[in-house]
Formats: sequence, structure tokens, C-alpha cells
Amino acid sequence: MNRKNFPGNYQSLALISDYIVLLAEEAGFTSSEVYAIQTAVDEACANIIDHAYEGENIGAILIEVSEKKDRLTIKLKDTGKPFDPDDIPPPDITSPLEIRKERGLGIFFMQKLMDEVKYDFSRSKGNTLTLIKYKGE
Amino acid sequence: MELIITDCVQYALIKIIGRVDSYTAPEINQAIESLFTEKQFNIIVDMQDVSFISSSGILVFVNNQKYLRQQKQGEIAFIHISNNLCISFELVGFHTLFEFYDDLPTAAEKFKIINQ
Repeated sequence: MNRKNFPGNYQSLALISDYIVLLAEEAGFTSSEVYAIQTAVDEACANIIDHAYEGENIGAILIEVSEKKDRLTIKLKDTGKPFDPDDIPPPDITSPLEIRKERGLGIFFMQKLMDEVKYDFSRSKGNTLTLIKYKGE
Repeated sequence: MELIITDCVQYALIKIIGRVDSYTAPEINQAIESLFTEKQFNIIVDMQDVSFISSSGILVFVNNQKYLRQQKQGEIAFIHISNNLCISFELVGFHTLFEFYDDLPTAAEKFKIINQ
């Protein structure tokens, strides 16, 4: 398993992407799958900064990546306030532009681009978001 | 990320080089707002050298396009957008809000017609 800790700020997003892209490429995903994984992880990390920490440089983001024959599992851990993506209503992507409220897009991306998105919170460990992408699907 | 902005009178060209994410999106928003302040409302965004765009980046363009529609003037259009980036726009249904052109001459022609 690969594990790396990043400061919880927006500057980390590019470094996190580089880290994830390398591991996803090594795992054998296609370029469009790698881009999908990169997008989901970026959105998840931006949500951690915005919603769990409610600001930059409040805490760290620990990323654990493990590969199995058929899948890549990415765990994102933070010690911010509980943030369950399922509590966020899905975005409105069909109403006319003038009246549309753009919220929840990051979570929508995660759910559309990954095969599984799971959330867990414990008082001692904080938030854990698990993103799973299966190979060849 | 780097921005190269060229004001061509009938339109402004913004060439973005690098990633568009929560860190870099505010800089792009500031550049677009500066063009609006200078009364330039026709904007072509060259995405050829953009490696990645997140939802926060997409929202910068969506919110400014929304502003232009409310003001009933100008438009933001894209050129040289890759399949990966296009899919991100499509996933959230924002591809219908913008014109996507293959190259600058085709996009520029559109703004010439609008301005006539």
C-alpha cells in the first residue's frame, strides 16, 4: 500500500494529482480512467478543505492507495468536522442557467466517475472517504 | 498555471497553460472580471494546454457566462478543448451553455458576426 500525507491547502491539489496519476497509470488504467480518478480525488480533497476543515491549512489530508488485481482503492483521511457526502443533495444539472444553483458538483463528479464511494467517521480517526475504481469497466 | 491574455478588440483571447483547480480558478476569475471592467465581454478561452479542470474551474466559466446572459451582452467560448475536459463539462450538463470551436479563426469569425 502507498501512503502519503499532504497539507490541507489548495496548493497541495496539484501534488496530490501527480501522486494519484502516477499510481493509477502504474496500475494499468487507460488515460480516460486515469483522468476520471484524478478528477474524483481532486474534488474529494477540495471538499475536505472547504467543508471538513472549512479553510486552508487547518489540518492534513492522508491518502492511502492500494491496488488489487481488479481495482484501485483510494482512502482519503482527514481530522476535520464530520462531512458525509451523502448528506449533500445532488446538483441540479437540467434547469435553465439563469435559475440553476450550482452546488454539490464535486460529489456528483466522484459518484459518476468512481465505481464505489463510501464514507466513514469515527471520533478518534475523523473522516475516511473511500473511492474505488475497477479495471476495465 | 499561466495565463496569456490578448485583447483583439472584437474579442479577448485567454490562453490557459496548466491546471484549473481550486488553487488556480480564482486567478482566471479575476482575469475575466478585469476584461469585463474594460468593457470586453467577448472572450475566447484557449484550452489546448490545459491538463485538468475541476468543478471549481468549470464554475468560474459558468458563473461568468451567467453574468453575461443577465447583462444580455457578450459570450465566453472555448477552443482546442480535449476529450477529457469536454467530458467533465458534459457530466454536469454545462456543455450546452458554451460554444466549442476547433480553432481560433472559426471562433473569431463567430464574434465578428455577433459584432456586426
